[in-house]
Amino acid sequence: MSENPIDLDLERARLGDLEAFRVLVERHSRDVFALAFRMTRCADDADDVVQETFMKAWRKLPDFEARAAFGSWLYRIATNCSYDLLRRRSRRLHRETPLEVSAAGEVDQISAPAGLSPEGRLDIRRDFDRELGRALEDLTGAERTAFVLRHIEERSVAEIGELLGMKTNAAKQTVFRAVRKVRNHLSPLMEATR
Amino acid sequence: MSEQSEHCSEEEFMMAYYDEATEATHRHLADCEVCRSEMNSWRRTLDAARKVKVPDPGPDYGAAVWNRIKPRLDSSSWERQTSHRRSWGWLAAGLALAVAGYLAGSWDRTGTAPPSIAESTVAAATPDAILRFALAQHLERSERLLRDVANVQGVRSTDEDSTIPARADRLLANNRLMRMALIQGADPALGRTLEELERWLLDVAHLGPRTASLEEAQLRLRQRGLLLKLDILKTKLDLRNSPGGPTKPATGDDNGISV
Repeated sequence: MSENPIDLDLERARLGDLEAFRVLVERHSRDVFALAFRMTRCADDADDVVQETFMKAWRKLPDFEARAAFGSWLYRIATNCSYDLLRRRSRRLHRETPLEVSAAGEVDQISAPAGLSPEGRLDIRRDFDRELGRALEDLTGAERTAFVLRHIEERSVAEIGELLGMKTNAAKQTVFRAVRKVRNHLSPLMEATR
Repeated sequence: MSEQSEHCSEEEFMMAYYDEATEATHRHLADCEVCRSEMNSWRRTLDAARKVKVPDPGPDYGAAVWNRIKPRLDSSSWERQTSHRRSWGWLAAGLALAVAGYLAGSWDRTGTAPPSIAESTVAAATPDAILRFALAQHLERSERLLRDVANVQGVRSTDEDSTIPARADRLLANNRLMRMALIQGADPALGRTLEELERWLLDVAHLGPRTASLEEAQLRLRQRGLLLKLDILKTKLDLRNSPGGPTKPATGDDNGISV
């Protein structure tokens, strides 16, 4: 017997078993949605990415190397699907989902004048999220993908280069451009709320 | 620090934010009040941009996704994909390794003597001949396992390597390689039989309370008529390999195998 535990559903899905693939879809959908939402900031777009990701995964399953982690493989497909969508979306109008900011802990991440009421802090957070949304919309698809992967997903520059099909140095420059643009967009608001 | 300035550049602040600053930047930040203040400003802004609250798509989201994509998936699309992916060279190399494994006796720990073919013969053989040889060996071992499962009362053995699940597990990797080679080599019917065998081997390799029981594996073996199918394949392969047997039409294409 092999020493590593085997994922029977994955092995059956690789053989073309739809029922086994259903189990994988149900197991991983929420994680793929979370990644896609962080990339697109739009629930409808994230949902499209989830569906496209699993369609591609089904078609590519025969090529999947069993020794790789299925979750990482799916992550790579979902990242590429999100990136493709962001590139397409930059050419059309869209509306991103306003970020939900009900938790007081999240409001505290932004420095605000001492003595400000909770409602005041919430307003500041809303303003910040609106500006962050605008800053991200001003990024190219590659910059935005690089920003989310580096800043939110905490991926290394080398991984980002691999995911975006760039050399490491080009990926580093893309991350740098994205971070600088986002910071320049948000800094005035941050200074105003000090 | 950048050469042009006595203070950190934007890129250096960014590198420091992601804990990738050079020693020189670290030293400068420790000494320079201006840069330390600027670094704090970078931290405040970028920290605030870090958290994104993802909406909860609901507990049944996975099922909803499945219902939406299912009509667009079908087994045939999967088969089409399997038929043209791998290069023959890669498969032939894999099969040659499998054959070498057979020759070394490492694939069969049940006491059967390895076939008396020199390794140099394998090295000189065509991909088609390698596949035929490996396939014949694989079918032989698989049939032996199928017969043992059909007749056995329990999966225990004094030798852990010769338990039925262990034998099925060893056959799995080889079966997968050959299935891919056969589908690639324009014999999808034979490939599908190995696909059926592979599903069954998976079940048997992982017999247990949360998977399939031995009785279920025996029932599936009978329902699918796997022994009969393997027997037919072996007979056809024997005919093909015998000196007086029918020969493959000369197509000039070594990739195909037709039993």
